[in-house]
Amino acid sequence: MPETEQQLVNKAQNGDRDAFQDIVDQYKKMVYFLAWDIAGNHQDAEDITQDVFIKVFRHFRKYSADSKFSSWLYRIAVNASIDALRKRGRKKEDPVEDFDFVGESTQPWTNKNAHNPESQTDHTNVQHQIEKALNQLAPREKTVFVMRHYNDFPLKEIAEILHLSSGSVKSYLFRAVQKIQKELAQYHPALEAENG
Amino acid sequence: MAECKKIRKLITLAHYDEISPEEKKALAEHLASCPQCTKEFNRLQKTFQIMDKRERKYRGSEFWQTFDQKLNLRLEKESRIKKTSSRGFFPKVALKRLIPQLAAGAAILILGIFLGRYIWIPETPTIPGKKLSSPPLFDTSSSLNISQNFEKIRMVLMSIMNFDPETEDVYALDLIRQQILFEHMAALNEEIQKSALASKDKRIYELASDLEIILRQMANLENPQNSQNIKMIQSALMQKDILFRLRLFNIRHQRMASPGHTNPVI
Repeated sequence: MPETEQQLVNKAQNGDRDAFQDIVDQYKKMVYFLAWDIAGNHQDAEDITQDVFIKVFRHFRKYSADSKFSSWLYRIAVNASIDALRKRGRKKEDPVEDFDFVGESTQPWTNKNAHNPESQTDHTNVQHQIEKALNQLAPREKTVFVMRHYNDFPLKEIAEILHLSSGSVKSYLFRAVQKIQKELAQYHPALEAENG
Repeated sequence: MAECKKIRKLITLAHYDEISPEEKKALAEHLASCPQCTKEFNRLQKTFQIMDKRERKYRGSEFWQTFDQKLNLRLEKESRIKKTSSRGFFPKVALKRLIPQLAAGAAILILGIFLGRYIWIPETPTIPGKKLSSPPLFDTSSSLNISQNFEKIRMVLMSIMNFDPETEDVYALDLIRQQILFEHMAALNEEIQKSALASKDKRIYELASDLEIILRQMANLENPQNSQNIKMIQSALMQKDILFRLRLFNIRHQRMASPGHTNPVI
């Protein structure tokens, strides 16, 4: 951990609200996207992100400088997101209801296809397929996959955050990719694996 | 075949650049010689290409502003809870010091309740100079018997005069209850004064007047159970020779009541 971050954390641990706000500013977007990727919808992601920082504030004294602050923070975020995912699974809600794709998206890919209804439909279909593929994964598989694929966490750090061995993380990732490929193959025959 | 299984795991890891240079080299060599694994490698690349199309909704500054406001409100609330829980109701150190004091206070309160149940009797509101609603202890009728009333007053005052606050229980006198009686007695002496004034009996008028003053003071004492107050009453009675004068009045009355004398009934 860089010294400056450790100092910031120490200040926040001692009740410095400005230091705490700096930590929030530094991590809120990462936590939000991680929560969204795992929990699967915007509303849960926002609630989880809020809850994560409240938990950090509440239990800051439990954090020890022996481990990386970011790992501690992301562990809280991942656990909260997996909890939300499980609750959501029990409620059996539509996993792709959050995909309205209208509004604040700034990705040029979307804008390029905005005037082409056919492309827009294809695009929406692909989004549904991807979300469906992600949602059929077990929580751990999904967590490892989204952390590595969409959030660029190195496998070593994922292992540290999830308290897993490096081998277990690799296995989760491999299984997740296999399942995703199989799911997408329903819509994209070229992905279908040959026997053998 | 077993080699292909290992290589397929490596293909996934290679995509994320999570393999060592040796593994990278072994993978390249295997793919060059295994068409099945090469096909698998290509399929996996396509899978990742599709997964890369996943879109995330980027949130603008307005969203994050609202987010910060909500979070700050919650943090304020948390801060207040933290302060309250860390302090408790009292600061921990102060609480330690307060425990024996609180225990003593509770003991006094319990003792007070216990004693109060035996001592305290609701007072009947009294209006000085007005006729009281409780049954009269003294004869205040038109045929006022001064002698009998003075004798009753003397008996009550005797009990106070003979009381030793140093050795006896102050509460045994039950002066709080007797204050109602003193109020009655003072009112009675006011009547006696009027009668004495009418009959121009200076001695009775002065005795009744002194008695009324002392009895009113006794009736109005805020803390009659206090031994100092009892001593003060005793001192006032002695100064005015009240008991002696009451006794003299009775002796004189008895003589007058004997055959050949007129009964001083007013």
